[in-house]
Amino acid sequence: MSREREKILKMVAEGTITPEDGERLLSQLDSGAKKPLGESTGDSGDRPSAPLKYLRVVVDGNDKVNVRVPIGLIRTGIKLTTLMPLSASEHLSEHGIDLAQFNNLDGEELVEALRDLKVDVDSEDGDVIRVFCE
Amino acid sequence: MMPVLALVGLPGPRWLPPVPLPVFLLWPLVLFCLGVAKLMDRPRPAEAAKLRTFMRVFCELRGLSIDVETAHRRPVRLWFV
Repeated sequence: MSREREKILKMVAEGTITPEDGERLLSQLDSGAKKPLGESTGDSGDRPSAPLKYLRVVVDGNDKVNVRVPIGLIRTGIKLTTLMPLSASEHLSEHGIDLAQFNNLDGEELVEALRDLKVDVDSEDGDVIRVFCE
Repeated sequence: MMPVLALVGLPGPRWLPPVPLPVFLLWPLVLFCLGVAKLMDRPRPAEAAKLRTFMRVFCELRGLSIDVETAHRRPVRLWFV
């Protein structure tokens, strides 16, 4: 663990900074470390090619949900469909869902498709559901 | 990237005190499992692929955070860092 990361975690643990601030600092630290790879130097304003980092699922209302899934986990996670029991796959295929297609899906292709993903749902019981990538 | 710690605690301005779970202790296990998967590649390729996929998912857990609510309506966050 790097010294900076350790310091941030310590500040969160001591209550010096909020977990949200800690999260932001860790993200900045990660993006700073990845800069040479992404070559994201210079401020070009709204960059459509900026790498996606997280898929967020947020529910506000009676139910509170806040899930942040790293894109890398999704990229790897699509392979998890191969671990699904055969009976479950057959059951889904009866309903027209073919999970085998996920195996042929390229991880980068999926991430690019997720770039424009935006789901907003206002449910009848007052919950607001938002799914988006950031 | 592989997670170092899993923090479990109550999110908010007074996030006290997050319980750190030393996930890095599992790193040798991951390496061991990847070795086992390599050995299993020839006799049992399907099982080896499953094991490898599980390990890859573990390696990508850093950054995952999940907020849930307890029965007493208190938020609890599970956060891999």
